[in-house]
Amino acid sequence: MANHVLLDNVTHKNLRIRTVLGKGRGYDVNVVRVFPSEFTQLQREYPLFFVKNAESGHFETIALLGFSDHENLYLTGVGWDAEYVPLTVQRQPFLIGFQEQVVDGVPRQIPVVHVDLDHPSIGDADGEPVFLPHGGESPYLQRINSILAAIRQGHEASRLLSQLLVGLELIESIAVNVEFDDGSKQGLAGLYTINEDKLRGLSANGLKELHGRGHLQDIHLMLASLLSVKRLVERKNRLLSIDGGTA
Amino acid sequence: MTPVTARIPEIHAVDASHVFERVAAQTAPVVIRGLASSWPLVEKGLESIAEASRYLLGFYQDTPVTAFVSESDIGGRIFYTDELADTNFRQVKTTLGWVLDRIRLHEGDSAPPTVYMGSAALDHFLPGLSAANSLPLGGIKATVRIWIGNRTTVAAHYDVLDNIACVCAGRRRFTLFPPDQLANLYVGPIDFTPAGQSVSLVDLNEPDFDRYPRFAEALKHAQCAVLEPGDAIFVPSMWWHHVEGLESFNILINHWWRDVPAHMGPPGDALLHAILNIRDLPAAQRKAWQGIFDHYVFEPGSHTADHIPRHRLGALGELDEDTARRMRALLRNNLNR
Repeated sequence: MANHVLLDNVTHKNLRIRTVLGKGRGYDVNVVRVFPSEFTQLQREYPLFFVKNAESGHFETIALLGFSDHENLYLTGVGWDAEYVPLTVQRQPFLIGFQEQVVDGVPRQIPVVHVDLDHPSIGDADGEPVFLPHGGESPYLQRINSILAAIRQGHEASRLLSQLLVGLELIESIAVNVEFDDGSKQGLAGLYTINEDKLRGLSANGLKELHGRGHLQDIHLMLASLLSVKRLVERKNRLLSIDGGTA
Repeated sequence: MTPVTARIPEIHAVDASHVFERVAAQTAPVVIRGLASSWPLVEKGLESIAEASRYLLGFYQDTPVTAFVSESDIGGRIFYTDELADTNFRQVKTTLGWVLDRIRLHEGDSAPPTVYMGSAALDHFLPGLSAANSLPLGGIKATVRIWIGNRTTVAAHYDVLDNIACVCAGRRRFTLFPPDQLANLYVGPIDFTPAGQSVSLVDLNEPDFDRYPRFAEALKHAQCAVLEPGDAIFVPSMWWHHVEGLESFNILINHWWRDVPAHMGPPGDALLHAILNIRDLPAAQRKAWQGIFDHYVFEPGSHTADHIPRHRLGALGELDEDTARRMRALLRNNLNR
């Protein structure tokens, strides 16, 4: 269970975080939220899709990490096996909270840092210190702060992107069916991507709108990332062969 | 009731469009009778609570407000519980309608439960109201606030900003002490305050002189005034002011401003920093720093830096935006340890 509390430099003065991303530390998931600002770095290593948020009905951008619920094929015994780690993974166990503060007589929702005290990465004596000896912010916390800020902007960018694509009817559901070396097959439902035919047939105005807001590149990066499905299958196959999982 | 007999000087017939210039040269408080008497809110308030409430709600767009509420036993004194364990009121998120209804519901009570909505940015909560119900600011960058409540008392405190406050409904008694009465006012914690500012722990109307003997001296320097609807008061920056809403329904609109460069932050930050880094030095060192602060900060003059070539004055010269930026970066960096 998550136990989110406001981070403060007195209560949490001795807090240390194990930053090595390993199995059993809360990263056993097969999708993570990602944001357009990361697409360039992500698309070489991760397949990127849209999924529909069950509550809001809005499309959100995600990276696929595995083929079944808790399968994260990037997690290995020595850490996260990729050149780039998504921001929403890097941020763990911290998250953005909001606190009402009155500024010049006007109540404002000010973003503040929360920490999940039940996160498995917490509590190691040899982890990264969150605070400096006298309560200042450690370089690690400063990095977390900028990650959280990027995530906050990312939510907005992702919302604008999906809003625009829905308006242009460019999002379509995609059936991802893969076969592994051991002969087993797996199909993934609930994933969406860009409809390439419609993209090609897009009016000049539609293209201009996409380009004008810098989303044309986002779209191409998402499409290019589909090649990474093959790489994800290779990760799975490598795992199967190490496990001796011969068919 | 009040133990203060000296009155705050008064001026009359001040043109509202020149009032900021008029008080600019003033470092002592002054009451300005009738400054706001032509405001529609003042006129409605003179008719009835209901009229004033209706008028206010005409501008209200359901923005949630924060009200301080408490039982009648605190007598309207926005303060602490015994031994400063807690504040003696709770903050509720509500609507302006609820605040006004609750005030009206207990209008006739001799001991009403406390309702107090203080320091709310006028343009945020009641957009449009300021057009006819605040002072013409000219070029002054002021923040305009509204205060609505029943019988309340806010203990003596100072604000960093200069203040012109106008009573719109009800009556308010202001009791003022000069800045140098700090030690005689028995001021409470600086980091746990009822409403943002440190307050005098002495109950002005029933002072416990056994516990707070120096308060008798403070009273010798106090002056007070009762403001009627339409009356205004200039409370200079740093003057201690104890404020009582005397009627079952009180509205005040005030204007806070200060005429300093935008790069200057809150002086209180420097106080905290000095407590952190200087107060606990050995006495001789602290004394030396007192001299250094006098030399550079409190009594600068030709002795301070005239012997330094102008191009090397840096922080000792006239501060411009860029120098202020460099100082801020250095301080921020040094504080992070």
